[in-house]
Amino acid sequence: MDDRLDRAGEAADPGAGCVAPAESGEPSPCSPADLAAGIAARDIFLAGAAHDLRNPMTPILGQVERLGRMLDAREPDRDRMRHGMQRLESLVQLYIMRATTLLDVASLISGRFHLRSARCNVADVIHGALEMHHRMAHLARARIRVDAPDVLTATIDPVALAQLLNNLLLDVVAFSADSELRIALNGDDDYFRLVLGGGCVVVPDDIMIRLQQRFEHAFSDPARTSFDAGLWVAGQLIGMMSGTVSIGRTASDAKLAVRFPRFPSKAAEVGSPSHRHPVGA
Amino acid sequence: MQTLLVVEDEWAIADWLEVLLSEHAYHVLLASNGRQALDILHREKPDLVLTDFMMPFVDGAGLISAMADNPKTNGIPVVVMTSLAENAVQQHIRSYRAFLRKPFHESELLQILKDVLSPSAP
Repeated sequence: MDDRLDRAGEAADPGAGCVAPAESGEPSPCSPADLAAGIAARDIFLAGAAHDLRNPMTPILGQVERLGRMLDAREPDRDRMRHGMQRLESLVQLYIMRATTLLDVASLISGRFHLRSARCNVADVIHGALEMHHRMAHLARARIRVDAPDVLTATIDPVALAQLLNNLLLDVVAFSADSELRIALNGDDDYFRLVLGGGCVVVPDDIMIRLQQRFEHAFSDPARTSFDAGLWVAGQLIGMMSGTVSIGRTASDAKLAVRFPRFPSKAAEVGSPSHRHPVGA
Repeated sequence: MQTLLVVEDEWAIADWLEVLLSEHAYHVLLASNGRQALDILHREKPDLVLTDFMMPFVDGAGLISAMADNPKTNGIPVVVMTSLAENAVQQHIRSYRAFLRKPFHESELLQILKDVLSPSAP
């Protein structure tokens, strides 16, 4: 069972206090203005969520209709149908990921999102997360170059790490169209660092803003909600995992670096990460 | 064979449209954002542009506006496809020939293409 689906069951009580910073875990006292901003943000988020859920349903519906036509053929081609079913499954997995991100917003707001750290190979998590972005990179004519060791172990929640990577890459790959995106993983005894960089990574300011904003500020622009949920969740996850984000830039290049402690607390280790990877990652 | 320029930043949708439209004897050009679409429009003259609305760099509104300002492209019919409601799109886009709200049935898309590309279409 996908652990991210388990977590989706920890969804927030919609009436749980004010919209509070996720890291506090407790509702904060709110002024009427804060409350109004929180309600407005929630409305914008819901509108964005509806958009985010309708969009990936398009190829699913298309693939179902396509399979229906294959089935109605005089002599159905079983190989084509099998391939079509596999494709449908991968589209549903993408849909689940999108829906889970939206549910995680609710869990994070209410402080009910819990990390489950385990010792894992961070390089495997990164390669797994990247797999689903190669097709997007191909469409965008973005070239992805990865520089990572075969093994870099850390005690971290691998599902949360994969999710935040997916959320970052959704934006970064789309904005690396027609250019090269460099992804580097390195570490020392205390920390590991993931760096996304490239000549055409034009999103750092935008990403930094979304990563670090409170909910009611992150969802204030109805015109661009679709990317914001993923970035906001990524920002919350980075904070929960004691990570830090930094930006470096030159005239022709930009880098987004995320740093995490490698072994923050042995006491937090539970379970086996091999059973808890997200669908498709 | 008629040529369609599909502008879509979600690869799963772009892939599906490429397969579907190719099966229905259209030649498909793909772009992942409005900027890439405008690049293609410098070199090619498709019979129709089928475009998403929310995209990086240049969105659907920017693409349609740039096409309208260019005499080489202002006659190309545009079909907008988005999960937003049409009234939300109309606030930003000057003109388009047809609108599809995602998710849509393939039959709806194919009928719209047939109607818009018909020699008797306005």
